Amino acid sequence: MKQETNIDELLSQWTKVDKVDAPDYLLTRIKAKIENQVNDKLTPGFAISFGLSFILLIIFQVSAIKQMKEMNSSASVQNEFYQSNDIYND
Amino acid sequence: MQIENIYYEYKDQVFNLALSYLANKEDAEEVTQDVFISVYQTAEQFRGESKFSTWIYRITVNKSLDKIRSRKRKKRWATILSFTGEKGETIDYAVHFDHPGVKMEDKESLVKLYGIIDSLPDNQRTAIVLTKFEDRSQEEAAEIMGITRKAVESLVQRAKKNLMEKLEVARD
Repeated sequence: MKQETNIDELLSQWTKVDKVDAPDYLLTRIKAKIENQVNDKLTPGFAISFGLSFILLIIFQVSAIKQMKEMNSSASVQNEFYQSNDIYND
Repeated sequence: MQIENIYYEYKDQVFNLALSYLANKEDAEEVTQDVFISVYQTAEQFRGESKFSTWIYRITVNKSLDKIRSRKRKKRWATILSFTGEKGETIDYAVHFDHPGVKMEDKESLVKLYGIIDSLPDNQRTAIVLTKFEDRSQEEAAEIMGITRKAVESLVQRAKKNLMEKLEVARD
């Protein structure tokens, strides 16, 4: 029982602590942080256009690679034709 | 509701509650900032099931406990670094204690009290901070903590028992 009183006495020391006012400059910092977060956020329009341009870029790359492959294969067919012709002529 | 209005209405309660947990002006300012940013971002999610003030206090309690956990992580990391011979940022509570509402002559005894409270588990600490330091009723504390009044009463009793044991150990 005595110990419990000691604990209550110990805890009551906190009543010596005065309440203080929060500094007003915190509001300026809070507003700045909120504004930064808003600016940093992706707008849906920007995200969609970014995604679409990325997809278009991939399609363009794939078609370019396909075209290059086709050109290479037609060149090799032509090459084979000339080679076989050369053998025939020989 | 504008952030200015919310800020001016609750700033002192939030700041003082954060100070009760952290006993450091700089940390309490950081927590206060985080609380109002969080309130601004999640205001739409507030369903009005509890009072707006209760909701803000709940956010403050959670943010303050997060800050304490991050402080303790830093302290653990500093201990590990000290074993490897590297320098880390250690937390000495006597140095870290920077409460603007504490008078110079009371500082020593309050640093001791704060040190003992700091060793309590989160829920017991919250029950003590809300009912003993912030002078809230057990009903209010229960609402903020999202538990029953009986549970708050039991947490306060357990916290007191824990504090008694810690004081005994400190005396031996």
